[in-house]
Amino acid sequence: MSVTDAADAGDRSALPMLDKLGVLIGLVATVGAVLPFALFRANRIVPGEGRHLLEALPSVPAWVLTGTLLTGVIVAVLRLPPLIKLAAGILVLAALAILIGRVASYLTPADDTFARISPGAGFWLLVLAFAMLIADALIRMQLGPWLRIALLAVAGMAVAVLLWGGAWRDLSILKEYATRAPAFWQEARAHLVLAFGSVAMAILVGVPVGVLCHKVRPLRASVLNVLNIVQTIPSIALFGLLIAPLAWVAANVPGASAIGISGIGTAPAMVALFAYSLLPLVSNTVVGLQGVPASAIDAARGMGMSSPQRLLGVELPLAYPVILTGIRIVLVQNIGLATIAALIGGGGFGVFVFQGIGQTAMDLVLLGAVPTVALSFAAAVILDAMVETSSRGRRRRR
Amino acid sequence: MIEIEDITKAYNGMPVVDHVTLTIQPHTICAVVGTSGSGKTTLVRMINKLVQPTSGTIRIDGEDIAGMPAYQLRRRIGYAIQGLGLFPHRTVGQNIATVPKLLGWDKGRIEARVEELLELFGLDPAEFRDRMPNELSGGQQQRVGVARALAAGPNILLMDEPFGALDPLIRAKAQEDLLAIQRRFGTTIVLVTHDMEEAIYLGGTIAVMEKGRLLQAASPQQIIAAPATPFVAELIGTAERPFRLLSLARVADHIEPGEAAGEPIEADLSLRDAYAELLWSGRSAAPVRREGEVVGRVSLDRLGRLAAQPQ
Repeated sequence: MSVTDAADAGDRSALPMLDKLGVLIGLVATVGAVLPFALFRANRIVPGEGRHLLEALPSVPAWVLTGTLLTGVIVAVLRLPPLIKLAAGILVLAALAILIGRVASYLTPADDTFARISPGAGFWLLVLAFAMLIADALIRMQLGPWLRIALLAVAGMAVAVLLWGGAWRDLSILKEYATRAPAFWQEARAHLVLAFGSVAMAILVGVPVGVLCHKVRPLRASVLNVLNIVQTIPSIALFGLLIAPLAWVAANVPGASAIGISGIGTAPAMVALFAYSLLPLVSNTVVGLQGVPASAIDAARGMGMSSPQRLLGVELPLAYPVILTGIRIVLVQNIGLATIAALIGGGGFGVFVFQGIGQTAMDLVLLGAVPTVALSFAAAVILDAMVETSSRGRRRRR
Repeated sequence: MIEIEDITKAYNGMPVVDHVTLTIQPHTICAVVGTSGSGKTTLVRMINKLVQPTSGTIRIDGEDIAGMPAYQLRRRIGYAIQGLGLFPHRTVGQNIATVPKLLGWDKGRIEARVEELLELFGLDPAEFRDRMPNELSGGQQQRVGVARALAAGPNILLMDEPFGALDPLIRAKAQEDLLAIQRRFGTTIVLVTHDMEEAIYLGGTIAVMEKGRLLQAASPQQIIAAPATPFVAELIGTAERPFRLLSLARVADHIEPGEAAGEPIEADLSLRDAYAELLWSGRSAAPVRREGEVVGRVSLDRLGRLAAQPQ
């Protein structure tokens, strides 16, 4: 923390007491507080009417929320220890999360099953502002990887409590969920299978290919170039391009259709996601192996390690943090890309996104988008923490 | 014994090591000296087959290494390099255990050996065994590197600029330690260095190389007294010759009877250190002390004669 203190002291003369990022956060939050806090719609497809913060809640909670927001903005704007900023950010986000559920119940007319209440632009801006405050505080606190994962778990549990406790029951997105819960979980499974399955396949293929490219120098340029070209094909085009060849395989290779290969559906989606994952994995494996200190390899040879012993005992473990970074890139990328699989019948959260777009029902789009974003975020946090622990012993230098 | 016979290594027809013949006696230290590009590292790397010779043979204890599987040969030969090549992802203990593990020693024996070596190198096992290499100082890393090379008790130890990265004080200590260990285990050491001072201090034999050719292989005394070529003389440094010669002998071997005034000189100092002390204190002679007792004296006169070119 002494480093940030020193940095703070450096520019204290310009704006006494004020935190630069905090001022930005305060501005965003102010705009958020002015914009409509919630949207009211008579049914799920008509355009919504905005409801301001003070009209969206009964007077007591409305003033409580206003007070909380004001406190949050003040804490954000002033120069204060990151722990206080973190606490304020969490307090505001918790208040927003709980009260948006209250808003939904309050604004829904009694016995009206068609009315939809969804968070408005103001709500999202407020969430963004205070999420920034929390993120900034966390970065300044330089939390260790395990603590970050623990925080993620706590946040996940808090969301679970709000979801299953019924606090958000009247929100439009959960009303969409309520009418298609079985489909939601089925698509969730399909999404996870697509994202994780394709990454797993890519690891099984990409790491050995990377090792091969590292060992056989002439191979490197050509393989990486081909994968580079694959990476530049627009994703929708790649999904489409795979329909014909896979349909042909399904029709002509005995047993292919029995194991689920067909022109549309999971197979082409899987193949496309797999193809997109290869480049980062292969190139990170190559880069990781190149970064292994030459002296360590020389010592390993000189002590009589055989080539496989060197690879498994020295080279891959030393390249592991870089390979893991590749896996992180690919996993986060594929969790997002898997939404497009729905276009060719591959399933996943994309199903709701495209249905929602088709029906101009934004709540349905959100039902697909929000879990995807949450999943990517969680994967990024967890894998970042893993990358950090894996390279930790080596980074502390002298 | 290592017999290098008419060995040549050429890359694209350009010889890097050019018809070198050199015999290294068992239980001695042979320092291979040369400027960079002289082929000294390549020569040594052919002994454990890290480099395949273009022609010629190398025999270890009479056996041609060409017929031995490289990995088996290497497990029998200790290997320590500049930059050490410690495995950064393994603890100190695991690093030292590398070769014993490859040889399939059982766990208890490996643990005992790691402990023994750490103690031998003055690193408390309880404190250092589970540390990562980057948590050690340069000198400690160097000791772990040598301990690892000695882990399986090899008869031969190859070292390529093992002290290159150390600062002068730690380097002197490391050289002393190496000598002590060599005396204790009787290991045959082949050491590559570009530093003539180091070669003279450590080497029982000094092999001087230039442009792939072996110019001279002889004892330090002979190299200093009768350099075979102008290049060898240049490496030694003409102005340094008398002092280098003095540095090879100990006061203990040149004690004269008689008395002298002033602070005594320890008998286990080198003659060079004694000479420097006499000059600095402005005395023509000083008493010599061995194990706390004055046993005679050492004189400037005598030292002056010893520093002259041997006839």
